[in-house]
Amino acid sequence: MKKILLILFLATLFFCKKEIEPATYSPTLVEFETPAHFPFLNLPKDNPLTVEGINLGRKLYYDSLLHPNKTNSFASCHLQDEGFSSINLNSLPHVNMAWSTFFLWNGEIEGGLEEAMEFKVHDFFKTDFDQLKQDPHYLSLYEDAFGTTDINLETTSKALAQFLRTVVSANSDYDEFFKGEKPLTASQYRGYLIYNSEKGDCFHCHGYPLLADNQFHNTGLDSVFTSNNMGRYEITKNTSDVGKFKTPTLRNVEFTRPYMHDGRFMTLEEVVEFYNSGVKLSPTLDPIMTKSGKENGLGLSEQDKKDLVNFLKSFTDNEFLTSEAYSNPH
Amino acid sequence: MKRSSLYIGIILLLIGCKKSEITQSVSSASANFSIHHEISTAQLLFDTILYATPSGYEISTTRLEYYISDVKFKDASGITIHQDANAHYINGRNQQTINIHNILIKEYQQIELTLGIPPYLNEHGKIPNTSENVGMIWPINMGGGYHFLKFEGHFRKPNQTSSSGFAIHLGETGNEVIISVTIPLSINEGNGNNFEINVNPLEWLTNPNDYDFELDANYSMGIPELMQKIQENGSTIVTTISQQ
Repeated sequence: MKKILLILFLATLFFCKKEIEPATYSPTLVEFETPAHFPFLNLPKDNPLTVEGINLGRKLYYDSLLHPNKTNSFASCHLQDEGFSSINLNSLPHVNMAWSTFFLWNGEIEGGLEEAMEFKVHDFFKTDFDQLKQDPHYLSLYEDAFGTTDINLETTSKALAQFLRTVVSANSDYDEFFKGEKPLTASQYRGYLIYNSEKGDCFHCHGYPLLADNQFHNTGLDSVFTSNNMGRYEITKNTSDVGKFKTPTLRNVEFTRPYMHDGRFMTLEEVVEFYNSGVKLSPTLDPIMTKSGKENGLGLSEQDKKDLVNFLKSFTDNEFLTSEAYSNPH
Repeated sequence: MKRSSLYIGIILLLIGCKKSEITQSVSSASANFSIHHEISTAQLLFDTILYATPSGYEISTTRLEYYISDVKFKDASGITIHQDANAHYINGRNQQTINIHNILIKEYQQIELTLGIPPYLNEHGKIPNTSENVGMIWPINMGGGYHFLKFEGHFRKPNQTSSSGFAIHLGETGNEVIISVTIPLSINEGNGNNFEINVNPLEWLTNPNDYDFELDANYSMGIPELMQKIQENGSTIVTTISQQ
């Protein structure tokens, strides 16, 4: 009997392989909570969310040490109270980026947030990591986050990616309306019907919940696209991509002016008027923009346009715009 | 004492070892359906005006997204032996394969599939919340559920230089297309059950109804009579299903 027990015990040990990991640093794992109705996310296994990683990423986001001349940080061009965009630039807002697979207006960066941050740190900021290494505070933060004081492109990008993965806007009036928790105003509701029907047809590219489709479209801003204004074509060199730009999310759109890839419009009223009467024909114009009976624009009344703008303002997420979790920690 | 120790040992052995794979029943197997989009036996090409429609237009395709769902395997008397109650998103730009699991190993005589989404799944949240599925949502105020089809591109009359766009969208319960093909299908043990589904997207614009972008409209969403035309044309979309 003892033999049998011994065999069973050994068999248990043999069949049940358990990897014994050496005792290392122990960051606090954070579970990513996907907001209601949002698409599932495949989070990278080699960069799990941790309290320490997010904390480090947030500090880096707001720190001009990333810039060799210490003049700019991410937050210089992406201000929280402007929906993580900037009135001075036509940058895409840093919100709900976890669901993006293309970054920048022409989709130059393809992949996840880690790849996007590598580009930002390496190519955009051209970060001098020695500047960070000289700061003992950062040595400690990197060690807490990654178990190493090796401050390099990979760890820096991973920390920034972790922070931006948590920068989620999902609590606007429209979200509450969608969840049946709060009605829209009468004007907003009329705007909602325009937005989500063929009348305005905004939903095909800016559908709920992301209010963006992670794709590229020529929406008729110009009839001719020249060298610095070619959009997705600049990356693919495919003529069918001329004039196509990434769909921006409309989350907090009330505060993300200027609008369009070149920032040509300063108000939502101008944007709506463009779609109502200003769309220009070109060979790659999105088929959605050329509907029968709307060749001369959407034909919205003045009231329709006001209602649509009011509805767009229901995308404002005040909790997001003021959340301490996303604010400057320095 | 000895017996109880033995039991403990056996229990230890049984519960200690996690099963790494859920094995399929020996009497069932998986099947793989690869989807091919072809026009006149040539692979569908995107973004270039290449194809002629019966209504006299030359067209390009810029978007082809749809669902194949509710695949049923039937016997000679038409009784459903296996039903795959899922909606599979298809994007014509990518080579795609549908995998169906746990099909009873036997000979089948008929296969049925739905182009679009069956009523029991056509409600927000009834299919997995993937990015692709979220991108196919049909607004609640227009009926809810999901787009069954997005077929978009540009069209022009021959000899014209400028083109316009078309957006053939289909959705709303009742507009799904059920296709039934009588064909001997053999599901065998192992992973070698490979099938090919050939789809001709131009058929959305003809048979039995020639769709005219100018006389009808260059978009169909929310226009019941046009969606019905498209739905009826769906019956000839699948040109062949064959076992490899």
